[in-house]
Amino acid sequence: MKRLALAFLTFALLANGCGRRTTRPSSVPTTPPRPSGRPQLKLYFINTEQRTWHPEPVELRCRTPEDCAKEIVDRLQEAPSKETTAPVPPKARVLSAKLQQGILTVNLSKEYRAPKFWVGSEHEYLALYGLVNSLTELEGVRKVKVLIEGKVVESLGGHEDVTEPLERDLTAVEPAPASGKPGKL
Amino acid sequence: MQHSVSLSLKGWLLSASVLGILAAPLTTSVAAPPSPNEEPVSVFVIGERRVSLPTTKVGEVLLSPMAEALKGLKTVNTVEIAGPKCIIRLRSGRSVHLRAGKDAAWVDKGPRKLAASPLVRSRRLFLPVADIVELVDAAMIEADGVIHINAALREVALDKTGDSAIIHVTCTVPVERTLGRLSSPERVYVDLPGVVLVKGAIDLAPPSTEPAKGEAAGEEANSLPTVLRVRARQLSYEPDICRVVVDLSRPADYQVKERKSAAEFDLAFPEAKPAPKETAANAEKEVPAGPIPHGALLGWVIVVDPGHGGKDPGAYGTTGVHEKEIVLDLAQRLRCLLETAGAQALITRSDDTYVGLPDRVKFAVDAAADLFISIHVNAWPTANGKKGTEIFYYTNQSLPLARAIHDSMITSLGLPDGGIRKRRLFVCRNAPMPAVLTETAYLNHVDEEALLKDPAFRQKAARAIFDGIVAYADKHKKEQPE
Repeated sequence: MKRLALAFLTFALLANGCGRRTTRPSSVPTTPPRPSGRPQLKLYFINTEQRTWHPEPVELRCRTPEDCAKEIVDRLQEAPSKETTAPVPPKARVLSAKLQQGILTVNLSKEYRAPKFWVGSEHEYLALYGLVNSLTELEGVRKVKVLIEGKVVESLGGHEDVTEPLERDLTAVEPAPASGKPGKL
Repeated sequence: MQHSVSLSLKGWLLSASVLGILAAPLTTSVAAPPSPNEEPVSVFVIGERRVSLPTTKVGEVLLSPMAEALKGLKTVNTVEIAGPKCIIRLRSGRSVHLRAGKDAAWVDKGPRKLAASPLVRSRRLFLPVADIVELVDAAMIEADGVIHINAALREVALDKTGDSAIIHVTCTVPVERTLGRLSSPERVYVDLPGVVLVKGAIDLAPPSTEPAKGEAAGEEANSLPTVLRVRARQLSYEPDICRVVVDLSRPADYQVKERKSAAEFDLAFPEAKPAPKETAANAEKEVPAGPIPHGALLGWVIVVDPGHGGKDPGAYGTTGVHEKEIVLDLAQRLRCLLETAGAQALITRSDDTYVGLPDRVKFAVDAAADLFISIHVNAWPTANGKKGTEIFYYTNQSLPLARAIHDSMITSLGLPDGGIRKRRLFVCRNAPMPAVLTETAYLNHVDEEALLKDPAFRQKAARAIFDGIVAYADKHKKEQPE
C-alpha cells in the first residue's frame, strides 16, 4: 500500500514536473474502500451452462473510475473458472473513459467489436450487460455508454442498441448462494 | 445531347426566373397550341383523392394541370412546381422533369418524347395526362366519366409446371394484399387496393388441361388440376381495388411468395399427386401440418421482423451461410401463412437491407400492429457449443405470446428446449405491443445448421410459430368495434 502511494506520488510529481496538469481528480469516487483502501466489487462473468451471470467478487488496484474501467475490462477477459466465459472479447482495451453525471463513457478498442464474438441474442445480452453490470458496480456510475474507437455504433450483434447509455440489468444473475446477494456494494 | 439539353435548361430557368409569370406567353409562342376559350373540367380519382381539374386538348392529347394531385399516388414521393417547370420525384428514385413548351420529359439521364408539350394556361402547368401517368409508373382507366389514375396491375401469368401451378402477379408498385377464400365453388382471391386494371378483365386457364366432362366429384376431382382458371377484374372504383381470383377444383393450400418486392408476388398451388402412400422419406420432407385455419387471424395486424440484414449478417454457420438469409426466408414463409389466415402481415424488411433496431419498432408502432414477431436463428461463440429453440420476451404483456409460440415450436420441431427467457433485447423491450424474439435453432451447430438450410424445415418452423400465434389469438380475441 505504501509502495503504491509512493508510486502514485512520484507519477504525479513527474507529470507536473513535465509541465502538464494532471487530470487525476483530487477525490477518488470509487466504491467505499476496504481497510486495504482498494475498491471491492463484483465482476459479471457468463455462466455458459446456465446462461446466467456468475458474479465474481474482486478487489481492484485502481483509484479512479477511469482507471477502474480499464482494469475491469482487462479482468473481464479472464474467466475465473471452467464453467464461466469472458463477457469481453480477447484483446479489447479501454482507450479512454470518462465519468460525467453518473454516465461512464468507455471508449473501447476495435477488438471489442469482434464479429465472431457478438453472435446470438442470449450471448450478446450476457456479454454486453456483463460489462455494464460490472462497470455500474463502481460508485457513482449509473449508466454506461459504449464507444468503439471514439465512435458511437448502433449495435454490436444486432439485438441490442448501444447508441444510448445502458443501465444495469440483473435479470440473469445466477441464483445467489445463501450468503451472497447481487447488487451494488 | 445531354450537354445541350442541360444548357438549354439552365438558360430557360434563367429566363423563367426573370420573366416570372410572363412565361405563359413565351410558352404559347413556343408550343403554339390551340387556345380554346373554355376549359372543360374533368373529374379525376388520383390515388384515393377525387379532384376536379380543367382539361384541354392538343389534337387528341388530353392535358390537365394534374401535377399537384399526383402527390396522392403511392408511386410519387414529391412534386415541385415552379411556374412553367415541374419535377416529379418517384419513390423508385427516378425523377421526371417537365417544362412548358418542351415536347420531351427529362427522365433521370435521358429524354422521353411526349405526345404533347406541357403548356401554361391561367398560370397553371397543363401536362399531357397519358404520358405523365405512364412516367409515374401508374395506369389510367375511365369509368362513368371519371378518370381513375392509380398503380396498375401489369401482368397476371399462370405457370403450370409438373407438381405446382404458380400464378405470377406483377403490379407497377409495391402493393398491399388482402387474401381470402370463397367456397361453392372453391376460390382463392387476392384484393389489391390502390390498383387499377387497365386492359379489361383477365381470364387464364392452364393450356394443357381440358376439364373433364360433366361434374367432377369425389375421386374424379383428383384427375382435375387444382387450379382451373385465373381471373382478374376491377372489383371497385373509389376505392380502386383490383381482384385476382383463382378458381380451384378442390380446397387447396397455397403459398404466397414475394419476388423482388411487394410489387411482384406469386401464389403457388401444389397440384394433387396420384396419392401414393406416403413413404417414410416423404413424411420427413412433407410439412405434417393440418390445413391453415382460414380467417383465424382476421383483423390482426402482425409485424414479422426478420433480424439483421444488409451490413449486419448476424450469425454465421459453419458452411458460410448467414443468419440474415435464413431468417428472411423463414419470415417470408411466416408472413404468407399469416396472410392466408386473414391477418394483415407486415414485414420489416423484404430483402437484404439493413434496418436499424429503432426503425423496426417504429415500423410496428406506425402500423399500429397488434403483435411483433422477431425472427432470428441463434449462435454461441464456440461452434457446436449449444443447441435448441429459445424464445425471448421482455415486457410482461408479451409472456402469454412467448408461451404460446414456445409450446408450439417445442412440440413441432422437437429440438432441445432452451426455454422462455426474459431478456433485455431492444425490440422486445421497446415494442409497445406483445413482442417476442424467436431463436429457432443454432446456426453454428452442425446438426441444426443442416436443418436450417433445409427449406422444408424452415417451412415447418414458420408453421410452428404461426400455430403458436393462432393459439394465442384464439385466447386473446380482438375486441370487435361496436
